Amino acid sequence: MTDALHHQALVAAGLLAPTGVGSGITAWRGPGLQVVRRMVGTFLDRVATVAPPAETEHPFLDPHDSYHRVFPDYANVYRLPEPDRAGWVLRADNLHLNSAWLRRTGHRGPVVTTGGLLRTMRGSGSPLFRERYIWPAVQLSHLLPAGTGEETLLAYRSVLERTFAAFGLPALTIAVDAPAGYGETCHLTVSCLRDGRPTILATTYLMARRYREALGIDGELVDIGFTGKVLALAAMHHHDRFGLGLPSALAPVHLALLPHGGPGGAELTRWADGLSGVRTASAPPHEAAFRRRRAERTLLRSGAPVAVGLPRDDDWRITRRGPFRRDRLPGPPTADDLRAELDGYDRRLLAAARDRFDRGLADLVRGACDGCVAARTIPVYGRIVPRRPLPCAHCGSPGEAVLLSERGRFY
Amino acid sequence: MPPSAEPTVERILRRHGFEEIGEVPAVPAAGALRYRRAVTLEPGGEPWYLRSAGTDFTLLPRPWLRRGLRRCWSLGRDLDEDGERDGLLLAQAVESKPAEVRRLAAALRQDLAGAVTGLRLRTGREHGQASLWLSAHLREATRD
Repeated sequence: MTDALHHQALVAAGLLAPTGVGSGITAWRGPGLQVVRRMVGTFLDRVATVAPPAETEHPFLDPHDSYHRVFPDYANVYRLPEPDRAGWVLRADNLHLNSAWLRRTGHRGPVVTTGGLLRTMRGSGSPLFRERYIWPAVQLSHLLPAGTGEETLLAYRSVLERTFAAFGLPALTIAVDAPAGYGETCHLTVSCLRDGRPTILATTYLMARRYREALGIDGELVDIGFTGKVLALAAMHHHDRFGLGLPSALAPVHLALLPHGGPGGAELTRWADGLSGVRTASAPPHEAAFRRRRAERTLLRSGAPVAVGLPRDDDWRITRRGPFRRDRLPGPPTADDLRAELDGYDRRLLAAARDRFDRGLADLVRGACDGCVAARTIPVYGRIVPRRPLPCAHCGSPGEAVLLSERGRFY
Repeated sequence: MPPSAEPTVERILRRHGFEEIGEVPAVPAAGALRYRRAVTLEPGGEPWYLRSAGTDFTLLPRPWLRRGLRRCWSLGRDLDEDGERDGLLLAQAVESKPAEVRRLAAALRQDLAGAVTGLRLRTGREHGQASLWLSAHLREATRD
């Protein structure tokens, strides 16, 4: 499912600890926590275009009775028994906790939580793709008046696709039959691995009646979830010979500074202090070119998209990534120049990933008519959202665009 | 997700060379981390540890030391016998010289005194080297 390179790039960038701390449990380092905060922040900014979101965090010890009332059939949870009591479930879902929070506060939502989820796991894990302790697990819940769910679902489709585009990940949305009757409508946000195979980034449900009743909800409820797999996929697409190259929405450092040892080093620092909205980190001043190059490699490995150096007085140099290029500058770039550099870098990352996405999905997006879908003549995984008319690839009748999957469900 | 530690605590720990790592509220006993509170979870009667106050824990697995990660802290839940509480700070340092660990313990005791409650510090040995363990609650912490 995954290649090891993305994990190596995340470790080398200092986002993840060198080793996990148990089977299926990934340890995040300080810069990684910053990147996750930016990922959630970007999502919240986009969610605000639908309705102002609230953020919360729930207890990790979840009373067994309240969990079981909503998820009576789910066995993949860890329980902490207590004598004479039902005991606790170690937080395995946020849906019922978000719903209880909405009821308690009188807020209609959306409410977003990022707390980790612990689930039992058979077989081996894959860091950030398949884990026992799933962190970050971003989950949004939104209560809606009856009859407005489908329309809001379409608005969230756009929120998710724009969020992932900011991370350099192209995506499309498909509507599928919800697994285990979880939702009346289920949207999957689909992107691709580096080799072009499709993979799911987010799930969006309009919750089924039985869950709404168990939660004590009138009206409709939207539930959206995605995990750290988003960052794993970003790392998979966005690395080069230096290592991880994060899009500017996520990068802990936008601009690496490479001062030389003379007075020009101080000039570079003074110039960087005047850049608003650009996150910078400086290497120690070095006279020797090979030391500056080594410092540059270290800073680029942390995910920084751009480096600016002053190897000699008045000799401004820039290093760009995606693709890698070193150029002379006519003078110190302005903050606007650097933002344009970052925008260009983000566009190049997204375009490269979109190229893989288009090639990977080219044979999988086809037209299908209701008759051929019902007869299972075509292996349809889901209908593309929003609906797009397309003649049926099997019989030529009027149909709509669908995503095929010869091997059944993919994750 | 919750914000990072109250800035004063974060600043103090960073000044002493500590790096933040993400909180893991529960770990299997077979894993590389360890907390004070041992429990048996169902299914399977599997032994786990729950993140809890006290200086009997391991926050730094041995392989991390070889990669230069020798001082770290995390902020999160205190899952103790009284229920669940937020704002538990755990930190560990592993050094080759016991004198350095003793100096660090004294400096942290002094620097953190105004920012935390229930500060406990212990020095000893782990992974064959000198180690320091710190447990405290942030002053802003509230019971759920």
